[in-house]
Amino acid sequence: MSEQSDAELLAAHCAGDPNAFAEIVRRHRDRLWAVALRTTGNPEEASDALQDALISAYRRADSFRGDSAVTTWLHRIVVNASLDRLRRRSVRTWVPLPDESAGESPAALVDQAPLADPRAAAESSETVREVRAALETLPPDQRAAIVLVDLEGWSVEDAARVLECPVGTVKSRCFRGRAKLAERLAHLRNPDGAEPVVPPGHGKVTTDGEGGAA
Amino acid sequence: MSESDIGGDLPPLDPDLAAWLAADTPGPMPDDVWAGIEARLAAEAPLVPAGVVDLHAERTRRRPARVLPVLAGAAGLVLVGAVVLPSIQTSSPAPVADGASSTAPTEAGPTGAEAGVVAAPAPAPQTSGGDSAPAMPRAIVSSGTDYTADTLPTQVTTLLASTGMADRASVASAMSTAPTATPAPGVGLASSPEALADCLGRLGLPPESVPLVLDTATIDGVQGNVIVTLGAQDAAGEPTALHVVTVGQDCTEDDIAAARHWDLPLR
Repeated sequence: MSEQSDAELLAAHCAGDPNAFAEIVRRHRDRLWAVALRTTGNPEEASDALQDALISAYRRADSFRGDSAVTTWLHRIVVNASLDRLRRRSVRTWVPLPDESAGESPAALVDQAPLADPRAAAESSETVREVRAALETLPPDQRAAIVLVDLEGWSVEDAARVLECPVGTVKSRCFRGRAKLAERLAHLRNPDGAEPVVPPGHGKVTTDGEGGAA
Repeated sequence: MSESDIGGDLPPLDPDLAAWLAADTPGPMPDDVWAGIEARLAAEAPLVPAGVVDLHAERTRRRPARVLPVLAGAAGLVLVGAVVLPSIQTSSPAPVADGASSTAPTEAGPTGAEAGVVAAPAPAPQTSGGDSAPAMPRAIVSSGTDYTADTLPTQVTTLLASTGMADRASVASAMSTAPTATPAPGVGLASSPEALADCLGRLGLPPESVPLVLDTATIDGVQGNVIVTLGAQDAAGEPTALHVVTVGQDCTEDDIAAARHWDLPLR
């Protein structure tokens, strides 16, 4: 079964193969999880959204027209389910407390670089919390665009297919979302109170509107 | 705020911001999450290629543990009274379609939660795309259920659970997607969106009614259809009730006259 493409597996699922769909999910589970978690910002809601999305996809598989990759289609359903939950829930933030992360691997909490210096580890862990909190403040549509493009590495074009909106809209959402994140995380850039450092040759996102990027 | 194109390519991500975002790696899917997904997928019935799903056969395969919570959920739902509309004993659909009737004291309020109401068709919202063209339901099933007036509330609740539309959230989620059921030629109202829309129109439902589920089943032992459409919505556009109609197999004038309507509040 592992030799089959995603599209072949989906066709097998539509033909009644009871195991084909689970195989597709198994292949992409970590990426789907990452998108759901980063979009909802909450492990429990991510889990629920993912389950809802995958059951929906399982049942609606015959609606897949093949005009995009199966993974794009799956991500679209997962993102929509995550956004549904995000929009429904009341305004609250989820910032993991230190003991909540006890079961996670260190790699899930800190930079991949070796962290021999405890202070560096603490700062990195704090950065994760700050980033998650800042992401929580973004409107759902901007957050989804940032998650796909800037966190998951999707191209703007592919993200547009997932989000079912024009490419320009994805760019706009990313641009505005980045600006807000940069503003809310500015203290990380300059923890000691020195002047902000703008690396040469890179556009620092500083405005909430048009322009602002070199 | 406008979401117009910013023009040109998206600028490169600020390296500091990139580094901050990269610090937050979610890691692999936790085992318990994967186990939950596997369990739910395993509990699903395999897809049936045809446009009609045989839920009767599916139900016999399902474990009791999956059925019991559904029935418990049914008990928690307050279904408005199953009232035959005496006003549609004639062939005219007007009494049902009359918008003024929706404000009659005996009828359902915004949530359709009052007991004993005459469930005249609630104003049905359009699909998310605003398209009022005839559409297939989100699900077409052949449940094998014999619906009766006394047991219909529980039966419909079970039907909705089987199709993943048991509560407000799942109905809203279903509404955010395009209809997925495919026409089943030769299966009465399931044969085309036009056939279903025509029947709904003659039943007095507004043209923009959104069909959610069509169950080609029996009603009091006679072949017919149970049609579930979107009912009332709250101010935020969230669905608060469904409208349920039982009608004969071919939606003839006699079938229309004998049709029954319910409003089913959503949890």
